[in-house]
Amino acid sequence: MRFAAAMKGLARIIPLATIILATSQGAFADGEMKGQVQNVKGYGIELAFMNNPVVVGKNQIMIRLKDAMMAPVDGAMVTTSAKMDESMKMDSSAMSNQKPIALTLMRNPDVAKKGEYMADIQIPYEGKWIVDATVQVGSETLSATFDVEVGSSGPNMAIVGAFIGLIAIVIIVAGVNKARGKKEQAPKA
Amino acid sequence: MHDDTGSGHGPAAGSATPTAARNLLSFKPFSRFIKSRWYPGIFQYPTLGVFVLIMYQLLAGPRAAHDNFGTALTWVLWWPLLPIIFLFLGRFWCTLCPFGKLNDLVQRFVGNNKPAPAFLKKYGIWLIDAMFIAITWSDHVFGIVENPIGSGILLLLITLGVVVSGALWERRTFCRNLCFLGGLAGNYSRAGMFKLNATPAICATCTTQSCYKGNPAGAGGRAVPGCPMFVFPKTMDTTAECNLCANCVKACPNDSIQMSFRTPTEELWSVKKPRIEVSFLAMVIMGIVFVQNITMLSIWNDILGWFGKELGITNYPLIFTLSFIVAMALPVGSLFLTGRIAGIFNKDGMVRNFTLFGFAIIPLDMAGHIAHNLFHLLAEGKAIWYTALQLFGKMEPSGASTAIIDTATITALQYIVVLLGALGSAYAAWRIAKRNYGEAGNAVATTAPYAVLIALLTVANLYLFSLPMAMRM
Repeated sequence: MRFAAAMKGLARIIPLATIILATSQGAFADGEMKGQVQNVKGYGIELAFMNNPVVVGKNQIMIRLKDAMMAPVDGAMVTTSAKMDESMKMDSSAMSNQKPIALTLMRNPDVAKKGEYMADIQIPYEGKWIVDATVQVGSETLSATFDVEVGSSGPNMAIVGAFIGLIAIVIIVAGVNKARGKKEQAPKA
Repeated sequence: MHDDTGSGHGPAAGSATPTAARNLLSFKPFSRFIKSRWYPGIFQYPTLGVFVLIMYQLLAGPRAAHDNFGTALTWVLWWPLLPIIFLFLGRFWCTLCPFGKLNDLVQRFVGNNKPAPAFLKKYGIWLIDAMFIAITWSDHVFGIVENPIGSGILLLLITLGVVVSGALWERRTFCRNLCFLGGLAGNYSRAGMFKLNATPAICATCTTQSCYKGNPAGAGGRAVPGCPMFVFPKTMDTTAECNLCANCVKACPNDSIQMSFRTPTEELWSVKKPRIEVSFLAMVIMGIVFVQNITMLSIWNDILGWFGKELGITNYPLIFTLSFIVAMALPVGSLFLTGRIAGIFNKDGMVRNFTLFGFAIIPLDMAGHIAHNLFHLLAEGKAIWYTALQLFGKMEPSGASTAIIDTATITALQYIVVLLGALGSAYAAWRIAKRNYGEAGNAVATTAPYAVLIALLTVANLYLFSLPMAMRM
């Protein structure tokens, strides 16, 4: 029977689809990394995040470093410290106790272009955050401070929608199959 | 269908050691309530409502677990209360469970009611064992408890499984054969103090099997379906599969079903056909409790450091997987080894010993599980209130503690619970040995190695609970 075959096919697809869904969060990430730029002592320091707009949760932070000639600068030592703006902490003890998130950004030649330094960051709260970037180029130390607005991440609608879609398909196929089964049984009765 | 109707499992649950427990159904108001159309719906629909709120919070609420009401309700309230419910009320939770209700609803409207696949019936508990291990592993590698989205995805996956099962298969195939919580519930309920059983004298003359097949004119003249868990009360010898839905109570035309309290652990030594997968799950749970404890302790960082320094491994998933395998293998291996030693005295094989005496470990399992979660319930309990406040835009007071009672008291309670569990396990081991080897005069010699194993597992638990533990929220 066609519907029985459809159910069997569904039974094969569902495990695979669920695995893909459960592990696919990263697949929806926006690949563009454009950010804020500050000029310090002739260098351009650009702060960017992989997921833009920046929302609560895991993200990738990047500092893009260029010299006065706009040429990317490699071989620098880049660190950042991200902290919540004091005015945003209100009276939540957890927010108050939130320590600055200190990171050392590395240049991974496999994924980053020249002059790009990256690290993973986990941002726990929405609101205004202040990111202090410190760059050591040769004997020169450059500092820049950026304001970053972190939004609520909200649900990943792709995942939730896909689950709901999958559940809806199962219910529709089962319902049609049940109705057809009843129809086939009716003349016999 | 499962073949519980005529498998000759022996007398009703706990009847190997009959007790004159009072049948709660002889109390008329209780009986009327259980047989009414209100039960169990009066509990199910509110629970379903709370479940929807939890799902919304996990998927759309604050990303930090500390602020998420869904995380607080799930991992600080529900999960810690669960083993306590199993101890006192058996699988009552399974009646309230929103997934069970969802299964019923899907089944009612679009269910095809096909028999559960033979594979599921045969290997269901092994699948449950594997799922339990996989979920615990995923929690540490991908983040479930400490990540609201992770928790949400877990619940979505279970929802999908329930919908598929309800659409395809009859009754509660998912609950009986696939639900990892059902496996845990079944194990713990065996050691619990609540039982449902039929009255053998009444069932002896019954030919309707209404409790299993359903009754078109059950209590109140309403049609009542048969047991959703494929259990035939007349022959069941365990409460492990009974979710106290009361269908059998409503369907039985002879009022044969009884509900009563019993001595905890009583069932463990009266099971007629012990199965190795149940014993295996008991040991796996012991390993999981160890893992959950160790990874929340400060020594976990020392272990990670040791792996990095001595073996040069810094990859967390790999380190955790190795530690996880060791933690799982230790209890399982130690029970096999103990079975080998006990076999010298009782002349039974290692596997037979493992199968019989794995049941004796269940009380200590449950105690370890309750003790671990007592910390989360009592040291983080106020997080439920604080996160609920945040739903209404109010923040928790600055510097507020989430503890309901102080840590020293919690630790003392943990010790007491573990020691009670150890006593229960030791006594169960003794009764199992007496029942199986008493006539041959080998009961004491058989019990001794298991008593040593139980003592070692108890000391390991007590040591872990003596160390400071990290919070979930």
